[in-house]
Amino acid sequence: MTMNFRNRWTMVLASASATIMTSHTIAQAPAPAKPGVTVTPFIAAPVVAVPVTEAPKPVPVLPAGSTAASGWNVPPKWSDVESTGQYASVRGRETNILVEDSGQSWRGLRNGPLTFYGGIILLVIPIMLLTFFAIKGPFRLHEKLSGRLIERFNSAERMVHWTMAFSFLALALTGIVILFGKHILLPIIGASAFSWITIIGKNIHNFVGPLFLFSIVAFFFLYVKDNLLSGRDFEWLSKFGGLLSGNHVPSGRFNGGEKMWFWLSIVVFGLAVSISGMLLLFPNWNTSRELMAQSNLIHAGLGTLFMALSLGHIYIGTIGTEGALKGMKEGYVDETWAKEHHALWLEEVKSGKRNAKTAGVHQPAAGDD
Amino acid sequence: MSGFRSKYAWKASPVLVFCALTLGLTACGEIDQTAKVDKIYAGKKDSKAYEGTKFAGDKAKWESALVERSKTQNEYIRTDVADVKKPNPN
Amino acid sequence: MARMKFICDAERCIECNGCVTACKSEHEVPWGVNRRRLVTVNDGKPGERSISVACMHCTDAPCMAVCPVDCFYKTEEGVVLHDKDLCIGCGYCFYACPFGAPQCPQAGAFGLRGKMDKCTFCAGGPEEDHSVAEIKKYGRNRLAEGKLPACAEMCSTKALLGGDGEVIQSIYKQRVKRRGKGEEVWGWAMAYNRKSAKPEVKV
Repeated sequence: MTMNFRNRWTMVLASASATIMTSHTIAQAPAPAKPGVTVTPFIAAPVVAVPVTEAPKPVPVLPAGSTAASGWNVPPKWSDVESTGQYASVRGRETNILVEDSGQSWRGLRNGPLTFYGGIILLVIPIMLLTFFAIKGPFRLHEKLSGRLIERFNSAERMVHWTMAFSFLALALTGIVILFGKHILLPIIGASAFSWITIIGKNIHNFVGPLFLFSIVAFFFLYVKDNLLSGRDFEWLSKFGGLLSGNHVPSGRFNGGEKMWFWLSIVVFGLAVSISGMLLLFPNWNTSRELMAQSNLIHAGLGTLFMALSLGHIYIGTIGTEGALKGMKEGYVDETWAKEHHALWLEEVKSGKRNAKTAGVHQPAAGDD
Repeated sequence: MSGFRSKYAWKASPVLVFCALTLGLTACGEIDQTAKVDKIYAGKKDSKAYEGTKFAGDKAKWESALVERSKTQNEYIRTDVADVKKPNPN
Repeated sequence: MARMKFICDAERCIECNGCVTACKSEHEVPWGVNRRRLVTVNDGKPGERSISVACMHCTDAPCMAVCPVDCFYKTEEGVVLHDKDLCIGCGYCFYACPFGAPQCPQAGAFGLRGKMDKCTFCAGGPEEDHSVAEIKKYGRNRLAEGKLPACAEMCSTKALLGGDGEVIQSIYKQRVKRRGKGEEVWGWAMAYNRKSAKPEVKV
């Protein structure tokens, strides 16, 4: 592949590039200094003996069939010219690089597999989830609500979660427009409208990005304590949370699946997407085109996967589980819900191992709607 | 069991080699250099270069003007070398 | 008419930056952007060559392929142009281009990218020819005036040739015949490692 790309650039550059390969003799090998000859410097300055570090290069050999005159001016190899920085009188980042071919592989991957498979994943996962919902329906509670409420997420935890959630949604939607928009939206709404949407989207993406980064850092520190993996979680995961057997595996404040999602989304995806995003966000950092192209691949690739998997989380947290969304919205869950989903956590709260302050009993007062 | 496996692996190996070679051959293909059709440009329509006031849509006139102009880049014309024809003054 | 082309004859280029300056003054390009620049290979060593680089107006242009809003188009003469009104300043064309031709001027704090700017082969853009909008956004439209790119026309040693590919090629061919070297540039002996003998050198 690389070979082909290189070949192609050689052709695209047409004559211009080939000119470099042209050769004729302009410089002879310097005559060796005669021993014993003293050279008087023009300027009376302390003469520093400069040791000759570079060994004289052998005269390059002409390729067969070349019409070039032999000597020093034998064409430099293309691979040498394009991979090394040359001299450029126009100063700036990478102005001295004649040909940067990394962009071509970036183009191939981004326009090819990334868009194609990314699009497929983003289409298939929601279809799977909706099919599952249509067949099995949501996870319902088996017993009646007790009326006793327990605080599951305090206000700081909820605030950080929803900051992250909404910024994620904003980033996901604007990101989708940038990657897939021209295939889906552009033919429908036309170039001008699409351009405006994308300009606004790009600015939303740029400004919400850092907010998302701060929210995942805060989220990590708020939630990491209860998300440390233990043996119990592997049991939960091996039994798939009791989904297949129907027997719910008891879990603590977070079950194995939630913990996996925590480590995957916050640490793996969050970190990768944030770091690559920051590299793309600040072109005034001295970032090379190659690094930016690679960051873009990571950003778009893992970002698409992140979106696809978060659809699963969103499904479970909203329509997939009765009472789950309420817990994150209001912070309180019913004791029955806690017993059925997080039995060990409920025990901890009841026994007082966990700060009892978090447990409250909701007593409907007179006149309270 | 291992004998059974190795026997089949041995039989399958020419097929595998053939597949690998075929797959390898695909690397020798040349990449198409024409622009793919997947791009749509629906922005402002640009007028043709010869549609301006100077050429008033006369494409042939514009082309010959450009060709004449291009020829002035040949400085051998100016030094009046015998094998170079004089340019057509435009 | 064949497609428009640039050739830079590295045997002649003296790295005077005249083309860079001509371009800047002709189009008043945004600050920080150089539509054309010079790269010197083997600077200060035997075999030093300078070459003037700008947008090569590729047949299968990578910038065009990666643009998320499809703001690029190609004219009949093979010139790659773009619509700055559609450009969102994402910088993808800048990642994709091997020559570093598309550049985004800084439009705000933290290196925020503005609308991309690149060589137009002095063909303006999708605005009315010679209108104020066209000059402000894309620079002068010399092609519509029946003129060639300013950089090529200003080149003092005629190293940089620009215009109809066939004419440019014939000029270069003649030059190679005269000086008896550099056939590789147009003959592709080097690119394809042709086994043929020397070309007939006649003056």
